Amino acid sequence: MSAPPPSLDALHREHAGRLLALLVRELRDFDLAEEALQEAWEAALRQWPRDGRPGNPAGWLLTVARRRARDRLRRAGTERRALPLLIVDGGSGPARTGERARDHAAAPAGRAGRPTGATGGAGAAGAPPPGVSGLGERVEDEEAAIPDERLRLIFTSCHPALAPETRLALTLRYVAGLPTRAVARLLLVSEATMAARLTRAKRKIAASGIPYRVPEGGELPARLASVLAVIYLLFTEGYLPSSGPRVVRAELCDEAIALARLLRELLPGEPEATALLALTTLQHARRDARVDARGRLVRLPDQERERWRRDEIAAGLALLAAAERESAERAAAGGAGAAAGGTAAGPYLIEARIAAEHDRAETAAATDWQAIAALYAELEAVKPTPAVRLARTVAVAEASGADAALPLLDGIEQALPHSPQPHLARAELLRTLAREEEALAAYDRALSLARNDAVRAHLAARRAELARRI
Amino acid sequence: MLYALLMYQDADFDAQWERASEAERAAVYRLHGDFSTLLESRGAIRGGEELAPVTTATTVRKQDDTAADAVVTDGPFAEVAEHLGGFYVVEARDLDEALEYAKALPVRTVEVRAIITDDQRPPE
Repeated sequence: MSAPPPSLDALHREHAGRLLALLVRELRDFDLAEEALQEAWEAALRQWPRDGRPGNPAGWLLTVARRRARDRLRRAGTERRALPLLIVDGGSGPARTGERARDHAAAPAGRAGRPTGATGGAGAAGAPPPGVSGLGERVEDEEAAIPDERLRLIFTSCHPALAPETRLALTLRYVAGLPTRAVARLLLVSEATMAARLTRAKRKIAASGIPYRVPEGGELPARLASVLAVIYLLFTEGYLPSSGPRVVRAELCDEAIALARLLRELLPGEPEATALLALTTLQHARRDARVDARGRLVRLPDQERERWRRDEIAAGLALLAAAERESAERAAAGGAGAAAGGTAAGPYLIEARIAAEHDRAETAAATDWQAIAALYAELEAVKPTPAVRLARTVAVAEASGADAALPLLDGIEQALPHSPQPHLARAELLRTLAREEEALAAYDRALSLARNDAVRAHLAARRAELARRI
Repeated sequence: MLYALLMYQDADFDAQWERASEAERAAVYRLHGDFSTLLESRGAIRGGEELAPVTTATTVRKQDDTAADAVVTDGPFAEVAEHLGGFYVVEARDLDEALEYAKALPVRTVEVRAIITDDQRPPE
């Protein structure tokens, strides 16, 4: 018995991003590519159950989508010509991907020119006369290999000229291929709000000339950092939601990990992409232990480590080792095009090392806090942010005592005025130093800022515990 | 694509500029000269002007776009922290190149806006 064919859902998951990425490149228009691809899926839903699934479903979809795009352009006539087209090429040097498959259809005819003619060689031959397409698509010449243009889609979606929340939305909608409703649900806004945000984003991309290309050479490190940040932001929103009732939103983490995996696949040998996948894998492996039976947040030292997923930790450690090798190779090669941080380890590699230190400890007491504190100092050197300082403070407290850690917190509350975390850290340090009154005041400040219900519950419990004791 | 690089200065820039010595002003103009040289070397310059101080601005306001009556007032249209001090018009292949030029400008705040050209407007 052969395995059953993948469901349409699985097919969609596998091919949607890739097909869209290619169509956007060919048509130079997000909306047209989306609409044409949507029509192709609808045609597949009608036709495949009746006529059987084609041998190359993705090739079939691509051919039909190109045909539908051509129909739409023909119908729209000159109306659409006034709209600005995406800038697809124009880089001076060779791009990092897709250039071998440089598309026949993508050559722009001129600023106002639209590819109104054949948008692809494959679709032209078997095109039915207008009006016949509703009866069924005859696709004779399915393309075998579909060039992978998803890196363009990723870099355009994560362009720094777009607002951070817009980058998240575009990445989920187009790179991960989620429907607008699902993106809205993940990012906790209404579907109408999300649809409007996506429309505005596409308009800005086209009208402001954000190019649909992979950045080259000197631009790459900063742009890659933006892509990594979008994926990690998505992960942390799932790992520790900034608001709402839930303490972990695993569906966000899963999407982020899938995106990190895709990025690594598309940028082989890029140490920070591998490190991001290692980091998210190592952190997500602890998810079952981070929430107790009543849905409350469980801190790292109190987690039941037998509930950590050992297979995922092993996979994460293997990825970390791969990232270390790639980073060393990059450094040996002289750091040309090195990720943020030049020839030194990049921030995600250092964070993955930290996550690995925690995951390797059999018990909380066995944690090598000296090593972790040193790693945080290294991280702060390449990424001097208040959040990193905060995390370093906690590590220093464990390694060298609350006395040594407390001065590191100075100024961090002001630098993170909306976060309860610095106040919580201060409260815990003061508590250790038996400065209870000050600790209670710090818990109160933390409580006044916490918007995540599980974090609030945790803070309230810690405060009550201390108040009872004094 | 054509882009406008709109240069914004702090509200107190004009006063500082008034007080600046000849040498200090010459240094600023030299930086803009270097920028123009960069644009020329890439065939990117399409225009640009320095505006007179915002304290010399005059604003004309009408009830609606085509009203016959207009009210003329002294000063800029809005009291804001930063004022438009001048602009360049550059040809760039995409926003990335326009941003590269904007970053090279010796000005603290630059707003980058694509310019709508004739071929993007509906035909007559």
